[in-house]
Parts: sequence; C-alpha cells; structure tokens
Amino acid sequence: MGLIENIRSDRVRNLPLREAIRITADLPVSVAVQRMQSQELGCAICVDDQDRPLGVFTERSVIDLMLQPPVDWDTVPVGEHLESDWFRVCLDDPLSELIHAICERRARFLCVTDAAGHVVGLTGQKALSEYIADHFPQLVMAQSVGSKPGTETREGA
Amino acid sequence: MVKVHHHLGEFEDPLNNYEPVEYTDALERALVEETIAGIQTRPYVEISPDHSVYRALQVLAGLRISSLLVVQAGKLVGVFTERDALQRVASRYREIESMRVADVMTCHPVVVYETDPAATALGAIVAAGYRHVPVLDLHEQVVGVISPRRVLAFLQDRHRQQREPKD
Repeated sequence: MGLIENIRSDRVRNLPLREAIRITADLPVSVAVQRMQSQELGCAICVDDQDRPLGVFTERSVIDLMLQPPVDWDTVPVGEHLESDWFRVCLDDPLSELIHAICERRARFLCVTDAAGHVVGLTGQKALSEYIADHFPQLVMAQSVGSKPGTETREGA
Repeated sequence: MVKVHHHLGEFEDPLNNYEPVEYTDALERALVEETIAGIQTRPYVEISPDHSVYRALQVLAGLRISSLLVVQAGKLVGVFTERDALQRVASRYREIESMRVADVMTCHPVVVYETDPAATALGAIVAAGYRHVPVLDLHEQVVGVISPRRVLAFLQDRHRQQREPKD
C-alpha cells in the first residue's frame, strides 16, 4: 500500500516510539535536566504514582527557566515548571490525529498512552518523518545531503 | 528503436526507448520532481555569533521558535537550537549573559540547497538526524530553514492538490 492508504489505516502504535523519560512533580529541575541531557531527549513526562501523565517538561521549559531570575535548580521542583500546552495520543488513535497535532497545533512531542491512560512512550515530528521516509527508503536514503549542486551556469560546451 | 542513417554511420538514439518514471502517488512525485524551493523555508531568524546566549534565548522564547541561524558577514557559520540550549547551556545557566552564541552553537551544520530534490529535506531530517536544517542558495547565502513540520506541510499540500486538481 502507498503512504496515503497507510496513514488512513495505521495507528499511533505503528510509529517508532521512543522510551519516555518519566519524572515526578517533586523532582528537582536539575535532575530532570540531567536525565534529558544524558538521554539526549528534549522532553520528560511528569507522571503520577499510577504512571499517568500530568504534564511535560521540555527544552522550552528549560529555556524559560534560564530567562527567569536565577533560582536554585537543585531545590525547585520540576512540577512548578511544566508546559501548559502539551499533547497526548493513545496507541490506537489514528495517525491523522497525530498529524493534525503536529501540523495544525505545532506539537513537537506527544505523550503516548495505552487504553488505561498509562504512559507507554513518546512520539512526535521526528518519528512521523521516519515513518514517511520508510515508505520511500531508496529515494530518501539515496540523497546526498549537504553536497553542493553544480554551478548555476553551465560551463564549457 | 529508431535507427537513423547518417553519413557517419548508423545512429541509434539511446533515449528512444526511454520510459517515463512511474510514481506510486503524488507524494513520491513531489519528493522526486520538486525542489526544496517548493517547501516553506521562511520565516527564519538570524543571529550573530557575537551575541550573548541570553539574547539568543530571549529570541527563541519570545518568538516561540526552536532554532536560530548563526550568520556572520552574510555566511552561515552555525545553528543554535533548543537542543543546544539544553545540552550546552543548561548546566551553566548562571553564565548566559557572558557566554557568546559562538561558544555553544553547532558549527558546520548540515545544510541543503534550495535546488536539491524535496526528498533531500526528508533525508537530512531522518538520515542525518537534524530537526532544523538551513537552506542555502547556490551562492551559499541563507534562504531559510526546513523542519519536519514544514516538510509534512509540503506533503499535505501536494496530497490536497492531488485530490482537488486545479481546473
């Protein structure tokens, strides 16, 4: 099947999901930042004791914190600095819902939950790009990224 | 195969049996036949490498954008993204007013050219692993930046055009 047909029929579970960084609201900001740095992931999901998402802490949250009057990141709980606008999708949601969140609502990260509302992973713009590229592997992977094209005007004959 | 008799001998045109490429759908055609110039690459924001990191963070936060193109004397010298802020600045957040963008930017970023096929944009994001890729013209001047969202919007638009062909 082609990409369009697959997007119509596939679910969020068909995307490559990343393992989410789980944090609790009382965790110091410094620890959350260290986890995001070590796992090279721009988002941590704040969960309750049932592993249900309460909010997200992102690179953007870190930037906002850096611009505020300095506070001690070792004592400030991350729960006070979660993003107000965050997105959640369920494993069985159609991909169109994810595409809508990314394209229309400018979502970068989406928290993925199972039917019971427990966090199962993280997805977003990059995962969707990989999904699309998987449909055109020879086309996408064969591109010579960064090499300068020929001159603008033809040389010689 | 058409054979042309010429005074230099028999000539066979190698393009005579050329079969036009068949695409599975409009998206594949767009990725192959259109260039990155067809993808939205603006707006984008430039900053000087000599600016303070504090200023760069202010711009990122104020405009709610994720990347800045670092340009000096008209040439791209780096990019500064939210990821750079997390990985290279966050641990030194008390020094952001004295740090310069040049100290923490990603130097020699992967770039694409506006004349590259649109598929190159997807390749830069997926294969090279960058979320924000500067776009240059043939004179190495910055013309914009591409992101996964912009590539997705391009594909969505081509899909719509296929469903609603112009008169």
